[in-house]
Amino acid sequence: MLSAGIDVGAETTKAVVVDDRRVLAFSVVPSGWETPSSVRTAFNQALKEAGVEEKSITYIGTTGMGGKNTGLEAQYFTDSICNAKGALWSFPKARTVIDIGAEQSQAMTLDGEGRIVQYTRNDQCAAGAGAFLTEMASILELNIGDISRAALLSRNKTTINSTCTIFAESEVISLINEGSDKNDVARAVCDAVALKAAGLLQELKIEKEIIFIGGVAQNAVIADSLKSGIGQEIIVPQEPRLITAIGAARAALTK
Amino acid sequence: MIDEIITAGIDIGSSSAQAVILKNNSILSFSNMNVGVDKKETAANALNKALEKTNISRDDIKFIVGTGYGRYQVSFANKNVTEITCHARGANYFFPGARTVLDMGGQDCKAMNCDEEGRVTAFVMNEKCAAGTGRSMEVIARLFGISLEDIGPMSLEVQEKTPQLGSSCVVFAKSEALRMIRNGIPRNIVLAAYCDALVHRILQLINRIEIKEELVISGGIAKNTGVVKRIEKSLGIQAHICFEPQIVGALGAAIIAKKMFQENNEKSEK
Repeated sequence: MLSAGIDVGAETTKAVVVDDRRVLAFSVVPSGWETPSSVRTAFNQALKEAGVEEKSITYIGTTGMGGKNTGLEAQYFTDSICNAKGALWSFPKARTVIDIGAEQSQAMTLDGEGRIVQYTRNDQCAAGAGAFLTEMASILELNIGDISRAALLSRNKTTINSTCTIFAESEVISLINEGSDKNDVARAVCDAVALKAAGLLQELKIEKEIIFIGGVAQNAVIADSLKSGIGQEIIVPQEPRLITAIGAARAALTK
Repeated sequence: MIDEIITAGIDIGSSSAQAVILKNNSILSFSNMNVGVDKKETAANALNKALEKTNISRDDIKFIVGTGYGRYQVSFANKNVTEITCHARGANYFFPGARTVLDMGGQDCKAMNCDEEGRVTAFVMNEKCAAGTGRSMEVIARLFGISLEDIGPMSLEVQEKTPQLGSSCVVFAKSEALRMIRNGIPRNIVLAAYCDALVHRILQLINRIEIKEELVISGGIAKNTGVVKRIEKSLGIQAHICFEPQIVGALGAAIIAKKMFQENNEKSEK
C-alpha cells in the first residue's frame, strides 16, 4: 500500500511517497507564496519519480505551517506527531528527536511505542533556526549550503555573543570589518545555532538514540558542535529534511 | 557658599549619545547624536556640542556623571551611574508624579517603578531581543524606504482591524511584512500590524512590573506616535513624554552629579 506525506514548511515543501518498508521517492520545492501550487508541484514530482499515479496513493498525510491549506484530499497531523512517527520508522531505537527547521525548532522524547513523553518548542525567535543561518549567509556572502564548508576551514575560535539574530547581524558585520576571517565567523555562526539546540535539549531528560532532523541538520558542523555540546552521539539521517513528511505519510497510513 | 552649580550628564547608549548641562535646576543646554565607533570620542563630542550652545566653559562644570551602556567610556566623568538610576531621576524631574518609566532605546527596552524622589523600586529589562527596540523600527523603515518618523503616523492611518502577525520576532515579522506587501496589502496596514506585534513584546516586558500612574515614556521610540498610542490604548492610561525624550538619562545623570557634588562639598566643609 502506498501513502504520501506532504510537509509544508516556512521555506520548503517536502513530498514523499512511501510503501510499507521504504521511501520510494521524494521532492523538495520552495514553499513560495501559494501553498496549493507548491504542494501540487512537489507532489507531482514525487509521483513521477516513484513512477506511480496519484490514484494509486491510498492515503495522504499533511503537516507543517501550511499543512491545512494543501488543496489535497488528505489528513492533517501536527508536526510533532509526524516527527515522532517519521523518526521511529527510520530509526526504531529513536528516543529523542530534535527538529530544526527554517523558523521553528522542537525537541521531544519518545517511549518505545513512539508516544511523545516530553516536548519543547521555540517558534517565536529566529535565532537557533534556519532563519539565523539565512541572514548570516547573506552577510557573509555565502550560500547557506556553503556555511559548513567555510566553518570547517576555521582556525581561530570566534564567538558571537548576541543571542538575537538582528543584534548578531551587527556583531558579524563588526567582526568582518575588524578583520576576522570569514571562516572563523562561519564557525561561530554554526556554534551559535548548536548552542541554542543544546539549550532546547537540556530542557528535557534526553535518552539515546538522539535523532537530529530538519533542514538545519544538513549542516555537519552544527551537528558536530551539538554533539560536543551535549556530550552524546547524534544520528543525522541521510535526508534529514524528509523525516517529518515521512511521518505524515506513516500517520495517514496507520490511522 | 556656591551660588550656582553647573553639572553635566553624559548618556552613551548603544545607538545614540546625549549630554545635558544643568545649571542649578534648569537645563542650560543639551546635545543628541549618533554613537560613533570610538565611544570615548563620542562622549567628548557630545559634551562639546552641548557647551557650544552656552557661554560657559568646560571648567565651569563642577561635576560630570556618565551613564548608559558605554558609561565607562566617559573617561572624563567624575562618577558613573547606572542608566536605570539616571532614567528614573530624569523622569522625576519632568514629571514628579512619575511612578512607572518605560524607556525604549536603540537596542534595549527598560521598564521601572520609582518613588516620589525618583528612586528606582523595581525594574525589568530586555537587551537580548531586538523586538520593541529602536532597531526593530530601523529594520522596517529600511525595508519600506521610509524614515523612522513616518512609521508612527502611517501606522495610525488605519482604523479597521489589521491582520495579526504570527510573531513578535523582528526577523519573522519582517518576512511576514514582506509577504503581505507582495500580496498587495497597503503599506500602512502592514505597518500597523508590525507595530502591533512589537508593542505586544513591549507590553510583555512592562507587565512584569506594577503599572502605576503616572506613566512616563522615554527614549527614541517615545517619538513614535504609533507605538505610544498602542501602549496607551492597551494599558488604558495616558503616557507623559517630555519635550525631548532621548535626554532623560543624561538629565538624570546631571541631577545626580549635582547631588554628588553637594555631598562632597558638605563632607569637605566638616
